[in-house]
Amino acid sequence: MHIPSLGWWLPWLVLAPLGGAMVSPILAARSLKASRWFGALVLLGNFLLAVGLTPFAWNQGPLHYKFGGWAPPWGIEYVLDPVSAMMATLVAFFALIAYPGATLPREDQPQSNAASFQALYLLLSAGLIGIVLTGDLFNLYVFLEISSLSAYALVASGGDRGKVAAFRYLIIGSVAATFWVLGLGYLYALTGTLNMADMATRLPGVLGSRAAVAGLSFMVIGLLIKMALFPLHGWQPDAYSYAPAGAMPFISGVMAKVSAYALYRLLYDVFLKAGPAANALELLSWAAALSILAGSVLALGQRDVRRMLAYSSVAQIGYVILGMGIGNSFALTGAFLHIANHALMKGCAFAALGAFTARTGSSDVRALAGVAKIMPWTAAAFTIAALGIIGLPPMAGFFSKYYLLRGAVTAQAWPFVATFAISSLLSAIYFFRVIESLYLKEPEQTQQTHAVPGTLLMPAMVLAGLIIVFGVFNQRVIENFVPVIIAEEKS
Amino acid sequence: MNTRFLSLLAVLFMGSMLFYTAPSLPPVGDPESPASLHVSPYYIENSLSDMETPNLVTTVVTDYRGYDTMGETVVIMTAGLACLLILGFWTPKRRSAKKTHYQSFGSPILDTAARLLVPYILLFALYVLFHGHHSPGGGFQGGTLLAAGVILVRLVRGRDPGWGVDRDQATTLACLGALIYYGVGFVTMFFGNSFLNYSKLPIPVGEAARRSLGILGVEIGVTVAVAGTLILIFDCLHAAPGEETA
Amino acid sequence: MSSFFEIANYWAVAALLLIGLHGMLARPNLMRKLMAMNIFQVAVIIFYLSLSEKTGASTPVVPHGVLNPSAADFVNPLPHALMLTAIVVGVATTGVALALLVSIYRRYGTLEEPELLEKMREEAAG
Repeated sequence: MHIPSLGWWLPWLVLAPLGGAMVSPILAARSLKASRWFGALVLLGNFLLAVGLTPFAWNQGPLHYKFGGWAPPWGIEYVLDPVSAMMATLVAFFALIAYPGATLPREDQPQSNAASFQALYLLLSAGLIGIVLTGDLFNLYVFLEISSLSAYALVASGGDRGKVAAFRYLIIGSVAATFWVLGLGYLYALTGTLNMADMATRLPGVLGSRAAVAGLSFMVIGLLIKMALFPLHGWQPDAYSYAPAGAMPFISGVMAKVSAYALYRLLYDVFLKAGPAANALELLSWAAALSILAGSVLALGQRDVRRMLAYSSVAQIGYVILGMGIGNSFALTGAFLHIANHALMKGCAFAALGAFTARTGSSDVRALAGVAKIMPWTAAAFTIAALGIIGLPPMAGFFSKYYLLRGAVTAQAWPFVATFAISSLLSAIYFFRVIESLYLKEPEQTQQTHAVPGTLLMPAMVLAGLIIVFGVFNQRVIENFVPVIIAEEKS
Repeated sequence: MNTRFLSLLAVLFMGSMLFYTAPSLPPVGDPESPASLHVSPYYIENSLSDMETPNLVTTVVTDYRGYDTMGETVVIMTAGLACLLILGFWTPKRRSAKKTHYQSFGSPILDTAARLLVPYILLFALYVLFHGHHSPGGGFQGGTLLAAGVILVRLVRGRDPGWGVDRDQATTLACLGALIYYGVGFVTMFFGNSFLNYSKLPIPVGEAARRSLGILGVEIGVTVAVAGTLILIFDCLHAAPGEETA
Repeated sequence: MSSFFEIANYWAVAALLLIGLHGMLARPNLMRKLMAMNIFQVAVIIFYLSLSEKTGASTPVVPHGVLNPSAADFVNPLPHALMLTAIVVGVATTGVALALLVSIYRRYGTLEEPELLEKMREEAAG
């Protein structure tokens, strides 16, 4: 037997949920409860492993792991550096926290449905962490597809309208992944390698080639579709509205962020911000600003709170991309801090909304009238999340917006400063409508009341608490959790 | 929003990108292109000595980039589970209910032809699997052929839910196949430091032979997973309306 | 810069990509969208396989008896391996898409997008 060294532990972040997903359906045939607990244990172990490995990634430099014993670029490798450590911990955390609510047994659900749902949930988390850890561009595609297929299926389990939404999501999502592979083909033709680090050494010689432009463009377009940046966001409102409410904190919290992370890796670590990547970053800043404004405006007109939150996500991912586009250390810190913060805030909002919907049977703004009286804590959680997205201190959202704003000011990008201000105002308007309905309106006669199980309420509380913690301790968070790009800035 | 107009815009944009950039790609067949010179010569020159396997695509797929292929097997399993989730399923307890009436799709000619062909199809599938080391073939091809044989019987005999494997067994096979692949990696993880490093398998033969056997092991896993999933997807798609709860 | 005929494969790939893209965006029938997506994916597969070509080289299987294969004699096996994965992923996606189409058809009775949206709107209003 071999004594495990540090690198030995790294692939388990993906292998554990992967193996769990393979075992889960077989276990579920015996006992659904056993497989549900098994899944929870796997995700808990995964989260603890991610937390445990993160300090090593910070202090000892990036951890590498080569699969099959083959050194890159002939084999595939996993890399854990501060950026991927933060993303992996984030995904593992959200997978864990949304799991009890997502896998809540429903009376009308056949047993095999519940079994496959649990397995697909585990596969989604394995796929997302796989994207985050990999150092190989084609391996990223494989895990992108694992996570995407699971997501299509999870959305489809949300009833009949979920199936139509899932089909649209599938077509658009597969096109996006195919764009990634197409672009990668161009880059492979130019460099002969698929490994990120190796490609970074070989690209500088061919950056002037038109094929490099094409390769980068297609890969970026694919990612933009996946993260639902305006105007490529068409699939998201339907998918977010009809997906099962329990899974939404996970899906809304991390899926788009992982694509944003992949974009960061591509532009900053593979292309090293050079050649077509520099132009891409500038174009992306403007596209992101457009997305921020469009998403906020479109959210205004929505009566269904789920759709409103979906359009809000379109705007918020714009913040992250704008931060990456501006590129100075404040903006990048703000971008990564916003990835973590928005995951918390949007996840909390969806978790609270899921509880409201379970209580009243509808997610329309008017149906939520007066719910704050029956569910005061959950309403408080939603309010905390809303205030965070608007950007009020001491909620975490304030601090990421502060850094982004500071980055824009440092770069003297005044249009972007204005964009931040306008969108904060707009988000205040549409969130205020919901909060007003929750607290100030009287419940309508037709409002139904169902019992809400505790597991559906728990994620909202935990996430709301974390929003405040992340806000109050934001300096600590930045030093230990958010990769401080100031130190590792590449010029 | 006129979809025709949008589509024209997208086609124009993408078309101009493609036509503008295609000439800067290396010519097709150029032996001096970066793709031919950088990573792949190692695969071509060393496959035989590293793992006693002449089929270069098999060695790249299952050994040098074996982790990708495990991901791919997981994708296949995911598709099977997704179809299960989407199209509903009867609860296992109801399985012992009366057998459904078969609506046969075939005629005596098809029936006889199937009886003659299917054994050879299944045998050929196993040949393709085991001979994947030496000729084009391997796990995916073998699994597809296995599924094709079973599905052929389904098509000819009608919705017979039991020939070969039934739906529950197909699900188990899909997961089992992925587990076999994963299991090989699991063993190497504990006997050495590398996931899917077949030279660390505890089999008393030379290193290249160990790699060759490791490749065979994962190929078997792939075959089982692919066959199980394709049969599962077919069965889900063709379940009679009374048999599923959507 | 390569000449027109040296990259003939890539023109074909471009044509297929555009056909697939147009089909997905313009066709109202969901099944046609799926088929167009398949064409799109196949185009990318052909693209990679064209990248692996070497003039005068043979299939990437070392014949019996050859002990020291030289890189120029065999076609690049890496894109073939990658495209094996891509084909399988395409099959998996198509399988899931077909399952969705079957369930949508059973529920709403149509696969034409305008009719489908109309039916969904009616049900939401009613």
